[in-house]
Amino acid sequence: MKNLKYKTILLILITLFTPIVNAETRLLIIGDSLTEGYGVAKKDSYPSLLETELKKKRSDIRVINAGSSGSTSAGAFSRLRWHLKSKPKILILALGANDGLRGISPTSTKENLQKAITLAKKNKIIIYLAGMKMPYNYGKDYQKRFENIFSELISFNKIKSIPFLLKDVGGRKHLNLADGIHPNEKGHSIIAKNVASIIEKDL
Amino acid sequence: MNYLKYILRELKGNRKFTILFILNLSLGLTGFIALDGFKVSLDKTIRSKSKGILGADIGLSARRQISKIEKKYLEDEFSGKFESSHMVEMYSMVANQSKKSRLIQVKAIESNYPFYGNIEFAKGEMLSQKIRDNLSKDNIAWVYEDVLHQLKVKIGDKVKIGDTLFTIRKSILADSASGISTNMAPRIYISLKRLKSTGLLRPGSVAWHSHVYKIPETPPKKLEEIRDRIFKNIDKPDVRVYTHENVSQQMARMLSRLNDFLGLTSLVALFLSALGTGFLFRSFFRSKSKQIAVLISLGLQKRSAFTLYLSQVVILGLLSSMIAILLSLIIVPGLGAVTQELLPFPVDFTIRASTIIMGLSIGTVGSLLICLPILMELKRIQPSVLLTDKQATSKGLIGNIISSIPAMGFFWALAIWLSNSFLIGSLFTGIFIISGVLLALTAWLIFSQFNFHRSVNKLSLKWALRDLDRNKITTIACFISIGLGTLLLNLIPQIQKSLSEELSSPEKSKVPSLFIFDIQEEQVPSFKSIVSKKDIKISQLSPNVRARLVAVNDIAFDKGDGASASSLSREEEREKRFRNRGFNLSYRSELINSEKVIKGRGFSGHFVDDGKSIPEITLETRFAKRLDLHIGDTMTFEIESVPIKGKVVGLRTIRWTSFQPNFFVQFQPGVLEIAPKTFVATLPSMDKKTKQEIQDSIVDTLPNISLINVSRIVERISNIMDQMAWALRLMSALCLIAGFVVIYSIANHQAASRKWDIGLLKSLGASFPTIRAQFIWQFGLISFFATLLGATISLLVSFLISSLLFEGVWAFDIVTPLLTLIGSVVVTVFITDMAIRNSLKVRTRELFST
Amino acid sequence: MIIKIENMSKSYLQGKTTVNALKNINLEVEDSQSMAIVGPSGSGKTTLLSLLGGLDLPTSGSIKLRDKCISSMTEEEVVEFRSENIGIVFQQFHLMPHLTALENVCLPLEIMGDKNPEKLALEFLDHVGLSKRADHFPHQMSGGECQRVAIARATVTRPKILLADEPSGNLDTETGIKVMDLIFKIAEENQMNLILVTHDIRLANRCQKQVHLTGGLLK
Repeated sequence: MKNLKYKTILLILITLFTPIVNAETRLLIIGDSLTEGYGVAKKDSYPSLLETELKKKRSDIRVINAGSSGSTSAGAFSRLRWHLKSKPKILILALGANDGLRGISPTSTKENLQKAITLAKKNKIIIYLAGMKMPYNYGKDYQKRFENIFSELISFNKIKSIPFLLKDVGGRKHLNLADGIHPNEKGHSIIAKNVASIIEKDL
Repeated sequence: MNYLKYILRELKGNRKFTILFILNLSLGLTGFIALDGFKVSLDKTIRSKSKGILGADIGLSARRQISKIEKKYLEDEFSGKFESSHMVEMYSMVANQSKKSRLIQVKAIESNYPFYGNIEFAKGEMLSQKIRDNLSKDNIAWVYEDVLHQLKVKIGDKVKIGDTLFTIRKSILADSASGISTNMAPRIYISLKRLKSTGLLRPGSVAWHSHVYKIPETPPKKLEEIRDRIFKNIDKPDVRVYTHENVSQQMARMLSRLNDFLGLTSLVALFLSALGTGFLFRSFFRSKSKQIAVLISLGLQKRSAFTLYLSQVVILGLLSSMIAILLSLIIVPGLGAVTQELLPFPVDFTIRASTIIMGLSIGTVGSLLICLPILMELKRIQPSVLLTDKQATSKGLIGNIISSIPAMGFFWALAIWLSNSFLIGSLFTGIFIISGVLLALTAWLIFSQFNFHRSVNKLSLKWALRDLDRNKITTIACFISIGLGTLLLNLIPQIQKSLSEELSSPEKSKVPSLFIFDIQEEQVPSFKSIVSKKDIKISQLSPNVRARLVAVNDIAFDKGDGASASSLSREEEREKRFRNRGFNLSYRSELINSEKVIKGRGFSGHFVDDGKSIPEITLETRFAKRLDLHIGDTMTFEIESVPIKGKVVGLRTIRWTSFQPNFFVQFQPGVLEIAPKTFVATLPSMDKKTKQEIQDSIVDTLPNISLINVSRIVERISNIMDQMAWALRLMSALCLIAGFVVIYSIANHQAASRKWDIGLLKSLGASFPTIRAQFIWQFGLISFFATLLGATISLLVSFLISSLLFEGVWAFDIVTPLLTLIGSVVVTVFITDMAIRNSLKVRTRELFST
Repeated sequence: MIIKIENMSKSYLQGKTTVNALKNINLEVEDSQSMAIVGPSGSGKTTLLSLLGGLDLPTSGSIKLRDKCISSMTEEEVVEFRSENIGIVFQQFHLMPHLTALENVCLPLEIMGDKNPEKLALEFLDHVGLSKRADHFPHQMSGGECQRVAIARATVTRPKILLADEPSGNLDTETGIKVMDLIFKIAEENQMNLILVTHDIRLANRCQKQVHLTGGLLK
């Protein structure tokens, strides 16, 4: 009974999806506030800009922004499972920063990401893992352990990577909001260009 | 002629009158001074608590070094002496010697921090100068108790912060300063001098740099002004400027409300004393007109007569205000000492000089201006009154109004000064005058237009009604005074009730102690079992769905058009960021007890999709106001790119003092259940051991879940809230008492002034019961109708003020108006009766000549 | 005997000194007899009058009015007695300023419980020649008129004793004479005992009996 009810609601949500054209190439970005575009308009967030950028190459590309502020790697698996229904071809997994900031053990973060990667692989999705860095104040040990999980996951799973999502943006005042953490419109456009240059090859 | 001698002789000659007059006036003024004294003392005490949270008066913070120029902007604002303290706060993974590491908030301070508040260490040891100085002498750390447990260390052990080992010297039980960043983790204090050696502070670190200041004796309004100016001058969006009041937004709101409320009580006290003064002097002069005529007939110039009585007013006013000041100086600290036992917190009850000056100036200048209309009548007094035994005729309404303009102006100006706001001062004065006019009209209508006395048979009632009709001016004056008195004394409790309702914090047991977030859906069962194993009931478990608002009424909501930040003002910039922030949605079938639907309705139940219906949404009212959303609007959200539409059906208020997680946007159940989400939960207060065990097993089995120990901050804030609620109650009780004192003095004077009538009626053979009944009817009726009307107006006015000052927080309170209605009638009747009995006892010979 | 005063003294405190206003007064007045109390200012005339009116109590001795000792009555009894038996006319008139002439005259009748006092009151106003002024307030009338209203008010209940305290003292000679004529006339017609306090020897001579007060002693 309960299942049935959920299924009807699921249907509602699916029908609510913007027109599904099977021919579309879907790029799913599961991430946190950076991906969500915290503080900037939706069209100014890097996933939207990335779509514009990539459309120059392939007009049928569609970027699905699955960014959610404050999210940690713990939700990666279930969120990916939910988005599988829209059959993404490419996945950018941009989670983990909040894990680090909250001092969650890197081992746990690694396990969580691995679960999501395994699921994506099973569904034949091309995976890009975005690397994350910790600020210095968390201490050298932790910083190192944290950053290592990304390279370990990449080599272990033989997947592609976006070495550092905030490349040329992080720590630069004029590219970030007043909080000094989240990129502003200019920052997002740099991220979009960076990511586009990496992904283009696979289109 | 020797004025002073004459005045003193006259005052001495009318000794009884003088004493009664001074007594009544000084009581009214004592009410004002005491009320203002209490106000200032409470305000100061509560504010110093609030200062304790920041540890300072004002501060600058940024996630970077603050430049010398930026600091100078602020320091240039301080005219007098100030102290400053620099600190750095950051999160770091701190390790014990077996390399187990946990997230810690490292707070590096200078030895003079905190300026306010206190830190309590284990065994009841308090922060002392010696302890402060020792912190920088070595690599020493003071740690929150939680740190000891989480890192399995004890006092004397070493922990590794960055590259350096620190020795734990003290464990902290209580810390008044919560600081400005959220406390995601327990805190360790180290000396700022020792921070460098950790190597944690370098380019690429995220740390809050703060400069906080102690500026003694700066009034809160001034602090706010300084803050606003600096906010404008340092035109860098990344620098935060804040006073102790806006460390916490809710605290800031409550403190500003407290401020407004206390300002109102001052205004009420001011107008109450003006009312009492005005009424007393008015009757004083009425009784003097004959004596003035005598003096004029003896050849005294009118101007001199004017001066003579002006000086009398000043002397009476001065004497009364001095007595009032003396009384207040005894009452306020005395009452403070008595209430100290009952108080949940120590208050330093003192009276400031400005209050005393205010009291003096109301007693003298205020009295003078109030008497001006009556003094102006001197001009009309002809010595012939002596020969004809005719009473000086009054110059009518218009003349009275014109000559009372200076007094109104004076009190208007005082009101603006007291409330620190042109708008509030003017509004209050306006309401006061309008209410006065309304009362006058009603009195005129009731007692003068209907000629009730013609149709009444009962002698005492008939006489009473006839008297009220024939003595229109006195009736109306008395009616206005009692009516306005009631209005004022009702107003404060009415508003207090509304504010207290919002301040009331839940029972201590229901206050959350742990705030838990990022619980994944699949982790909910294990989380529940961990908690239930410890016999703890989850206070709240709410789904949290992250969404972005994309359209309102199908019109795109995006405001930012990608314009560069520099073209926007800082306010616009902030607003834009707010609108573009994602929102946390939730769903719930019922309201929790800290919520109340104030407009529209709650949900109609579980959402049923029939292809046409749109899911229902309720919004938090302030949120709706900020985004200009109304009932009936549709909102389209995107949850991870999936759009979902809902329709606003209700607006909720959230009593934030419940400290429960609350959501601006709530969906009807049956809509968001399958969306990707996490859960937030709160756990009620529990003993230390259980709390640690729960924390441990969550960290072990569900490592991604974050726990915030909120008991410290919740306790501190609810403590301040309690104090505020207490202050509100105390002030409103004092207002009631002061109001009754004024009503008492009016009734007393009124009754005493009828002595002559009583004597005459007695000589005509009227029985005592009839005379008594007549006066009781007379004042009882005035008092009843005036109180009824005054209390009704107070309901309206409190509603108006609440919606203007306190964002519409208004609770209907019937108890106080009823209480005042009964109280005021009883007081009047009792006073009248007492005065009449006294007059009846005197076998008057004054009726005869000589 | 309508009035009988025996060994009565009255003293009161003024500041710290005791003033002996009346010393050992003995006085008798017969039915329907009129009496004048004369004497210089401060001789105790007013004190005597207020004691006779029951407005004050003697320090010692007794006052009997119509064989009732008012000096030993309770307050309430004195008032009731006064209502039925005594009318008072003041030098200062003492009309209720907020009541019309008619209403002022009605007062004593209302006090006695008369539910419809207007007719009788109007009759008495007519007696004093002021029926046309019935609806006027005291401040709209002349001094003589006010005193006539006061006389009507004092006599409307037909009291046995009429106390008058310098009734013409506030009036011009001509008006004063008219007012006095009126008082004597009414007292005579109604067989009232008029007790008149005055300076005026000619007025005093119109009374059947005269007593002289000096320094609180009766001559």
